[in-house]
Amino acid sequence: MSKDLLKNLQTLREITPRREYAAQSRAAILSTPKSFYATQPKQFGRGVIWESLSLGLSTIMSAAAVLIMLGGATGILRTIVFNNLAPGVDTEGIITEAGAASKDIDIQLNEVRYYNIPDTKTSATLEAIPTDAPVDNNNPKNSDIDRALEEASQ
Amino acid sequence: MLEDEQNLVKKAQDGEIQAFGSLYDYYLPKIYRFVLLKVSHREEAEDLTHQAFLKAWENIEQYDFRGYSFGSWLYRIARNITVDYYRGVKLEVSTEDVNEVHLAKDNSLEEDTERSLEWQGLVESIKKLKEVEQDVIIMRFVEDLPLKDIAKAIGKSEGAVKVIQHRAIKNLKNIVESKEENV
Repeated sequence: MSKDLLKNLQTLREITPRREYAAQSRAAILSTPKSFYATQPKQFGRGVIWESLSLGLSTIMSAAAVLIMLGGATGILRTIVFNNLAPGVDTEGIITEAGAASKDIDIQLNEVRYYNIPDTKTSATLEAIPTDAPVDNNNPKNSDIDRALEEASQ
Repeated sequence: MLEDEQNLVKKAQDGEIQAFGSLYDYYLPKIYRFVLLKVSHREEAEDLTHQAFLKAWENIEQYDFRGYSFGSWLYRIARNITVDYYRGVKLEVSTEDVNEVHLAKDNSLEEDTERSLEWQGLVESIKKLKEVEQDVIIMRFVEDLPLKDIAKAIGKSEGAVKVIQHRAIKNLKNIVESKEENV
């Protein structure tokens, strides 16, 4: 039964389209111009790179535009704020305080730089300092250590 | 598979009309049969087959070999077109529709009434299977397509195709047998 069924199914292969239909359909399809995207040459590597660059470039341009707008807005706001402060406000005093704050920040940054000695260098320096020297009770600071650390940080 | 098929596809992708013409000549009977056995009407099968080849020609750039024949790609297009056809035009094919089927073999076999009746009975039985089972039966047992091409055409794994094939042939056998008992 199964064999007959399979054999019968294979006989369906004898079905073919009409000759006139085949010829007309073929002519119609082959005379159809391909769509715009279909006729574009394939772009592999270079196309992908170009697309990435375009995307990156447009992102950078957008970011730059935003920064320019924000910078402009800040300048405008600063002018507006300083020009419209209440008559009693000491503008010069504010600027001096801002300068002092800036100096404090610089000092803090110098301290950070000082403490930012590479661990290996510090360890090596501390290893080299003799630890059997007598400790001065009045001045417990070990000047050798300070000097060695100072040299290591430079 | 058509000899030197990939070369023809490459030329067709480069816009060579005659290369696509050769592919068309080779695959037309196969795709037409597939569509006809699915929709059971000659005129509609002709329209849908034409649409399938037109779509293939317009989008041939999208075909990527990767070990699958151009035929499997065409079957996939034809399959999608018949699915859309059933969604949009006919939700169900009745037995009456199938009885009116024109299974012409280039017109000459319309006179062969006995063969025509055999085919009608067989097609009617195939139509009672699930959509995917119909696809596998036609591609595997009528067109003798390799499993991997069928898998690609219907979007399933080769293992799944084997299971569907087994189930489909069993169901088809039951349908044919019960039909013969009723006669």
